[in-house]
Amino acid sequence: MHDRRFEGQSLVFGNQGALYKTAMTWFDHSTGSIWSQPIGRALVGELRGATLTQIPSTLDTWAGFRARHPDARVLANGLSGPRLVLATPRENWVVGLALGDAAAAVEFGHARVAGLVQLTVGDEPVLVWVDEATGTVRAYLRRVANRVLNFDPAGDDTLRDHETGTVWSAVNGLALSGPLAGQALSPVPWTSSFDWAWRDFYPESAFIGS
Amino acid sequence: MVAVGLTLAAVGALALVWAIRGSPEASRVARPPQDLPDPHERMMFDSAYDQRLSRDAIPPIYAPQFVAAVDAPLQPDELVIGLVIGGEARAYPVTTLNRREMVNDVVGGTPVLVTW
Repeated sequence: MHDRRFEGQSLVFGNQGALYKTAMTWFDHSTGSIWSQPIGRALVGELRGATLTQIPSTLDTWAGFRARHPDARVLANGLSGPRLVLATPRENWVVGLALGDAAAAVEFGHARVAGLVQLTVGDEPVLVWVDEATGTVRAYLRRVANRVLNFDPAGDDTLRDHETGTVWSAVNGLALSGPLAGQALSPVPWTSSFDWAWRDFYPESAFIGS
Repeated sequence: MVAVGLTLAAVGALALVWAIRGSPEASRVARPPQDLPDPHERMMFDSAYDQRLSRDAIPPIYAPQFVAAVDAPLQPDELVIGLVIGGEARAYPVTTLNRREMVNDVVGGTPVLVTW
């Protein structure tokens, strides 16, 4: 997910209909430049080299998201009439993390079984949490007030850090009880990708669990 | 999902073949602008670039419409992409994103591009 603003202008994006390195491309309506989705960057055209800012997002079941955000508004295009809801295929999926010049990918199936994967992407300590039952995905920075934390699963969608014993919600990143209660883990932008596409874009990327 | 093209590759392989063969627009797909001055860069780009469909053959959502959570006819276990910006929460059903791939939206005052 990306912020559509570039140099103060709000760009509108269409689907270029092409693959670049096996992944989706966009065009912007202002200049027709061609953008690559995984890196959020214009490849050719007037805006060549421009990069959009990533925005953290979540992947949730509707029940889970709605419980936390009862005031949420839901995209309605395509919701009227019969809908065919298919299970989302997860083979060869990775949770892709690109922070600064560094990249890492956590294999989805591995994370789902492990529940919690902790890694470092460049200089940034990160955790990826996947709920085994629902496939919900979260990614957070493991740094709070300049302190790096390491976590264990603590049951009921919670995590406990080794350093202070604080118990955190894996679902929203809030410290529920303990010395750091009231603090929050910062969400990290991530992207779901097929593993081969991630490797195409980030040949130096670490792959965890594959 | 960065994935994406992914969606193209995974979900749409058959549909793509059909669309390309079946559509008279196929011969009029957009060409990339020839503006990479460096021949090596141009060659690298061309070797990685594969124009499959015309622009917006998979139609993005340019004018998103919304319903309140209580009125949304979603199944409890279906997946949604969630964004929360400036206190405003938005859910994008993955089933819709599989078909449309891109949404131009504004959430909490921030213009966003949701892609899958």
